Amino acid sequence: MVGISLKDFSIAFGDTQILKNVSFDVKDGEIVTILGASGSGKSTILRSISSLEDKYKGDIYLHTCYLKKNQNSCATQDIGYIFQDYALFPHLNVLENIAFALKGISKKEKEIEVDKLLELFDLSEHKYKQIHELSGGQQQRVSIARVIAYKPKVLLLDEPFSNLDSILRNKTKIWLKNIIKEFGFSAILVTHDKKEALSISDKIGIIQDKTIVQFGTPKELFSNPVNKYVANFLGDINELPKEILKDFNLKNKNDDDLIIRVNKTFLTNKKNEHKLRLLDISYCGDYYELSLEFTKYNNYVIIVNVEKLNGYTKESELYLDINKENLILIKE
Amino acid sequence: MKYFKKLTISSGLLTLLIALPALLILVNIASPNTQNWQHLKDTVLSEYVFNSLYIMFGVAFLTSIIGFTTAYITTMYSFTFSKFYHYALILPFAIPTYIISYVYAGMFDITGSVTMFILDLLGKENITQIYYMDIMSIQGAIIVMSLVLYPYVYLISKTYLIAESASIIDASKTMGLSPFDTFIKVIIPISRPAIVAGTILAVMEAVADFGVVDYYGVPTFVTGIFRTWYGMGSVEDASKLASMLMLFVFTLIFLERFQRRNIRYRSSGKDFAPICKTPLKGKANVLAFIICFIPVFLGFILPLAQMSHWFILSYEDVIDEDFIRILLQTLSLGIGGSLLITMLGFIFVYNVRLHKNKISDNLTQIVKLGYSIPGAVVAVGVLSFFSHVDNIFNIFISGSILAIIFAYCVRFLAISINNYESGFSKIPQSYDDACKTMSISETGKLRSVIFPLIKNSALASFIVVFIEIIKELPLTMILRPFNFDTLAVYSHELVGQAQLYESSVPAMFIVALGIVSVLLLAKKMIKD
Repeated sequence: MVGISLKDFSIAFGDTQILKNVSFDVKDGEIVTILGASGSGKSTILRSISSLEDKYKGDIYLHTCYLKKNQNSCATQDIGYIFQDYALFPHLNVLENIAFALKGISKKEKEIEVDKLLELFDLSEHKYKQIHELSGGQQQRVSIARVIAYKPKVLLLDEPFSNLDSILRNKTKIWLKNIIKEFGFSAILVTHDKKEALSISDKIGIIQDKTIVQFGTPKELFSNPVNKYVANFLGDINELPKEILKDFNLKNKNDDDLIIRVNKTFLTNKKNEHKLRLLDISYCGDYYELSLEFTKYNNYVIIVNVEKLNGYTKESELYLDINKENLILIKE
Repeated sequence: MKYFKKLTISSGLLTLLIALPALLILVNIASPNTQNWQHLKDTVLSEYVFNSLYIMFGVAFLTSIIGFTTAYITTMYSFTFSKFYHYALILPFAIPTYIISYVYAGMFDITGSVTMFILDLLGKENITQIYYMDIMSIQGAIIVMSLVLYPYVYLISKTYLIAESASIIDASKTMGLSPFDTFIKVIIPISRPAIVAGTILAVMEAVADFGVVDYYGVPTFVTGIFRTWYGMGSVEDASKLASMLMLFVFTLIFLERFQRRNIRYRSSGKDFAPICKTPLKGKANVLAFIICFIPVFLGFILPLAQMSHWFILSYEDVIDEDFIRILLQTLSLGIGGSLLITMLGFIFVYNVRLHKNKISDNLTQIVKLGYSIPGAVVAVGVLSFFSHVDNIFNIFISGSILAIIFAYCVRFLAISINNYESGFSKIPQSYDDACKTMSISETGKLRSVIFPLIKNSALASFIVVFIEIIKELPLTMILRPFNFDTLAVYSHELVGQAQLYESSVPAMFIVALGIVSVLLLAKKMIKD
């Protein structure tokens, strides 16, 4: 069943158009990530679904409820919003924060509900602590517990891992994914981190030029990006001279660009048509990043990652080892 | 009607109400000349203009020198008691200008305690035998006002210098500039916006003053307003003088805002390196100590010591049933007024928070202008406004407590708004959003989130406004109902009756409250 549905959603602030004709569905239990550059309007989508913005055009449905007409009845505690800064109230302790939105039950019942969540979220020992006494990860778990306490159907997550360090980020990501699946939420996560998007999402929508240019599973998007922007957003790419196509008898009817993923770009000492000159070597810990220039074609610099230098030095002459299968013809 | 709209409409109506007295005053500038006005113009108007300008430039000169020098020394150097001076230099703020003028007159006029002491010390019998400057003169007024108004320059310059990056000073050192050259070529030019901003605030207070100039017999715009109102009984001409003064003050505000645009060239951000204080030793240490001691001594210790002495001599005669009545009247006026202003301030700032549009913001800016209008001008405006209301509805508000409270709102709402603005800036917008997404009602949000988080700002607003009301002299004098005195008015009246010692009793109460205000300010400085 579809949990959230956006149809021809557009929004502008004053004269500035932020998004136009955005449409996608999120099924129950599905995690959809909206990926886009900073300021591309990702958070605006979440704010509109949660009725924090209401001056949009188009339609938003929460299950079968039409949000625009029934803003209050649809939104009532059906949506859980996790804010980037967690929005935990500093004057309340952990227990009070989580119990904040619980209504219509006694104080004792509230505490029982909160205790269950504290246990589930491994926060029991912090029950009476003030928010500032918690670590970033603990604060994040409290903010999620606060939302889950009132049993929403939809979870909206605005850059939920941006304030965590990389180790904690990975740990929390797995934990959150399990929670979402366990509770069967429809979840929308916005981020600009491609690694985060690829690893946590069932589907990804990429925003470019005020709209979602591609929506699909991470694999679909990675393997068949609709344009160079999407390809570049999900992984590093090298742009190659189109002349290379002739060597493989490939046709380019639409005069598309030719790219290859950096992790599929290899070098060889065997002479071929694609001679390269080594411009620079950067040590990156686990690997070396080589910047190379085609000797035959001007303005084409590519990146190749190698584990060992094999005696390469600046100005070394090497050759590009291309597997036809890895070449991608793509729109600008 | 939506809750939000109600709030905007309330703010709009309140702004209109609060701006009306000022608008009525401004309209008067174009009113036809009366016979009284012609007389004023022919006789004293030029003197009012000259004296007001003289005071303005005199206070600007002294406050900028005292304020900036002390700010510079306490920011750049560590010396004996430098931490103490960091806060002690604000203490003169606790003494209202009119009170220090009474005390200085009692000490330094022809028969003053200090004058007599010096004559005794020198073995002279007559004042003509020594060089003597009459304190009860325009120069005396400038000196006493500067002694308690320099903290404006001190505070703003100090805040500015602390936020300045040490690398600027280090850069000038590496280019071979001596400390004196660095001071002249780097520190003063980059601090100019702060010096001007602080000086203009001090000047605005000086130009609006009534107590000092009235007691020292210096005719200015403000004393002119009183004379025209009380002596000639002419509200129109008083309003016309008030309108000229208001335009003058607005010009100062414009100049301050215009020059403040330059404040952008301060350093901040990633390259910020805090200034490391240079320790002073030997003569330099003594010199820094003395430079900072002089304004604290003259602006706080000496007047407070003299007042305390007079207080001990006279409190038994002054504190009687009447005094208790005046004290209670003052306190109830202060509490009532500050409660109302604290509530109204919340409405304005919360409206801006909810709406974030230019209209809401402009309403607040208009209301904030009220603080810059001199008390006497506000009083005349309120009087003029309620005279019309009285005539239309056949009621009598102009001489009632209601008129005074309203005038306090016009003048002091800005203080409350500033406190709330500072408080709300620390409450992230995501708290409001979180409440909305959790379907918490507006009332629930106010009760459970906003009020608990803003209560300290509300308390600070209440205390500061309360103290301002207690200190306020000209506005209260003009608008108070018959036979209704406050401590400030009582103190002024006692001075007028040559009961200087006795006047120190109500003055001590006012100063004690002023010290509370300054301590709050110091606490905020530590927090910030």
